[in-house]
Amino acid sequence: MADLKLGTGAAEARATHDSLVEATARQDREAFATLFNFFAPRVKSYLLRLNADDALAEEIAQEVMLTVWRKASQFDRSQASASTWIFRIARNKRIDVARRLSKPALEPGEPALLPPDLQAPDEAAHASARDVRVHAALKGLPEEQLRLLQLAFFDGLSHSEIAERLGMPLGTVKSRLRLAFDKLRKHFSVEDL
Amino acid sequence: MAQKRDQTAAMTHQSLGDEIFSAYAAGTLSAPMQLLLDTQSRFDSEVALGRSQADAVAGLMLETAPPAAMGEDALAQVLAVIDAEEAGAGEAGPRDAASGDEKGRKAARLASKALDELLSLPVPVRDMALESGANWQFAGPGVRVMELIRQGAAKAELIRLEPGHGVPRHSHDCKEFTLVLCGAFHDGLARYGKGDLSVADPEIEHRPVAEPGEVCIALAVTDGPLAFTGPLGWVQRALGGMN
Repeated sequence: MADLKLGTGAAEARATHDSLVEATARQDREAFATLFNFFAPRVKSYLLRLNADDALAEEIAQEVMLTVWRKASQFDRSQASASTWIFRIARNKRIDVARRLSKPALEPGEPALLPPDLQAPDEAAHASARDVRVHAALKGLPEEQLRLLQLAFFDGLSHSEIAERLGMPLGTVKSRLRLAFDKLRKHFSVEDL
Repeated sequence: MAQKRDQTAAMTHQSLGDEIFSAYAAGTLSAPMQLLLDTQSRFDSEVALGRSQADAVAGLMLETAPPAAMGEDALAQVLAVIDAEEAGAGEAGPRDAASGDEKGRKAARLASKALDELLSLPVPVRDMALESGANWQFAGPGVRVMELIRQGAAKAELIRLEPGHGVPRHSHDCKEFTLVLCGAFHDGLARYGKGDLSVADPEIEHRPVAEPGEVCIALAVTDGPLAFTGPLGWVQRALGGMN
């Protein structure tokens, strides 16, 4: 499971990632390489978690990072932190690949099948500052709630699948997730939109 | 629609529930349900907030995930692709929506009558409708439908009702979500205006009829109660090459 108990410096690291994406937008290859070395293995880890085989996970992680290079100029740290932005690219790429593989009859480039890649510019603001608050809130959660959030938000398990995996009653999973999510919710506001 | 007349007005503005946001973030929602959520977030700031919250949580999870070793040449390969692209010898180039957009808009121009109407729809739906060529199909007097996405049993389509017209009475094999994009309809149980979401259970028979005076366009999505297939579903079968 992800180590959310990051030590100090997480906020600084985050700001650094944001700056690296901005440098990448200026075609800075060293910045891109640094981003690649940090995020590619984590994107791969995300894909492996979802049962992709190693070769495919590696390939998609590379595609994701290539998209990061190509679309870096669209990154806006006031809308999303680098990790959230890259996660969205990874998620959309994965959905895209899955659709390509599961519906071979369709043209892979069929625009209607491509999920909206990026959040519209008016959708979020001050995201980095918010992520710092949310990260702090995550760190304050009991281990079990963190684990539940991870299974739901990152591993993509439904509530009943989580209940089954942990041998926990469904109602308990739902109420604890609710509790954890509500704690995080306090750190978001409509002004973030 | 699932609501009865005597239930509160809030029922006509149904929430999709918490679970849908984690499924959205993790990428396990079916494409039609993802479209529904994206579109609903244009009308409902709570939904928009839930969605961006879920993304932020997932982003933090990514940041703190244990790394999985990449191949030695992984970065070099990607840099080689970038070099090739910049040398103008690029392979296919970025496969983003730009060219398809243009194609879609051209096709849409042919359906110029419907164009203004489509242009007023919220972005994710509008773009999909344009990209699919604004291909309305006759579905009865005063009723047209346009399929946007089909994925297994899950389906997203636009339904367009002329004032006073309605879709024939029907029930469903699975849950049906209907989000009103413009105009309003009444299904004999409740009224649904712009931004309202109706959720119809399989056993409910209903007959939505557009209110007089204005065309009603709605996004109709059919899927299971929670429309994601989970980690053993199609995404993983496809990714993992199982079955």
